[in-house]
Amino acid sequence: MPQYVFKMKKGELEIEFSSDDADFVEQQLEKWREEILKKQQ
Amino acid sequence: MHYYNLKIKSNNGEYSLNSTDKFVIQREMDIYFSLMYGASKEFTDKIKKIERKNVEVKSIDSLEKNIESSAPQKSVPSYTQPNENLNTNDIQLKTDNDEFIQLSDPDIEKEETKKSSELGGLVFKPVPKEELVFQEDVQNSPTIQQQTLNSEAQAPIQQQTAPAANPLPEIVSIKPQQNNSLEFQTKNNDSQDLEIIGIDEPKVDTKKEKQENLNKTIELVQNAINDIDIASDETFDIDIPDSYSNPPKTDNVELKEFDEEFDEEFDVDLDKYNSTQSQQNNAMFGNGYKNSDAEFIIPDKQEELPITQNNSDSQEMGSIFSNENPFNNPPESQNIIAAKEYPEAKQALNLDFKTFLSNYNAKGIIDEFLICAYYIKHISGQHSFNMKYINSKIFQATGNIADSSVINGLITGNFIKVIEVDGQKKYSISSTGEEYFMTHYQR
Repeated sequence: MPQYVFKMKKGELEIEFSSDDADFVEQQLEKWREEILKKQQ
Repeated sequence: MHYYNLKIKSNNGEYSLNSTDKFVIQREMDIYFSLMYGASKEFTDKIKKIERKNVEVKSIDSLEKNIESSAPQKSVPSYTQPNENLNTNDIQLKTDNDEFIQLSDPDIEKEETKKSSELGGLVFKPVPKEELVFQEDVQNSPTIQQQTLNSEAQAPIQQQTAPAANPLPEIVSIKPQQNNSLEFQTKNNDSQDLEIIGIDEPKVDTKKEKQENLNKTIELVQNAINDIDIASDETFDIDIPDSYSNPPKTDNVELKEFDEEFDEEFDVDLDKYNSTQSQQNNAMFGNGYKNSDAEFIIPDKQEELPITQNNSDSQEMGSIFSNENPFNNPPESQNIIAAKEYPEAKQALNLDFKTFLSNYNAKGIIDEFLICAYYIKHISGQHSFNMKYINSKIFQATGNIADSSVINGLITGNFIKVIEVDGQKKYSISSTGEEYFMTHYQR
């Protein structure tokens, strides 16, 4: 079973997310990516 | 069953949140993401909608304030034994490691307790005991697992000295339910379902979903088409006598021509046949003509196996089964005979019936039958035919089969005449049929 690990760090705060649910990881990262793009616009 | 793990690290420690429920992790991640990167108003509003009965989420502003200016000084402590001396507003959670985590209501918490902010701003409001409706026989299967990772988390039980003025039931686990509710499990295995309003549903990949729906639709349509084909592919076969499959042995006689003509099964499209049959009958014999059921006249075995005949219309089959060696006295080519007898056939010497038929305006099986009868007489040079022979010609050219109603109707209309050859019933196109052929089928 593959494991997906994703880390985000900003300042003192760091989030590490890991799961074997590829679909959920993909959805979550896509959602975050869209939010970051919106923020940059 | 998937697992989801989220670790949150800050200067003052870290904690992890393990769960098999992705909604729990998703909520936590979204909150922290909005804190780290900021978020659009839409995103923030969506998170703000995560409201629960008796369970609230702090506003984004207050969460940011908590993280930036009042970062937690302590991580959530865990205990190996449940704290039996909880304050009024304390909530104790049981982890999968049989540890116990204690939370407090920040609205009344003391300055040294800021544990709620470490849980991403999730604040569990205490519920007065009298408002709880307990349920029995709730499985002790907590799905939220929380544990502290720093050394301080391994601290021994912190004794709570203040007696509970309004003691809460000891909640040992929280289990998210599928109906957007949280199940609080108490020490006595009682539980209380608390409704969650507006929980963020997971995004659905619309493109993927649309493609799957499209594929399903295509599959359903394809299956429907296949079903129709299966229903319409009702076939029946013309029985070929065993003697045809095992003809008498003859020396130096090739059965090739015979095989091409007769030794095959006819698969008939009944739907197509029935749909055109009535139209043809009405057109040919007038409305009201009753089309009998599809029926094949299977010639008698004697008719199917003609013995050597001198008659010209049986030369083809007769030469095959003749005991005489046809190569010693080969019969004259039927096309040559036809060309000699019928000059117009000279132009169609090399035409098979399919090509011949394509030159005429045939609208159905009856027209095809009459044209074929003309073809047999004037091109093939045979003065008579039986049903099986003409059907083999028609079927090879068009895929259609004529039944007894066709021949009977043509006989009634004097387009086909019945002749007797050596005591066998055969058919031939009449002069009326030939005249009809010349006047109606020409393009």
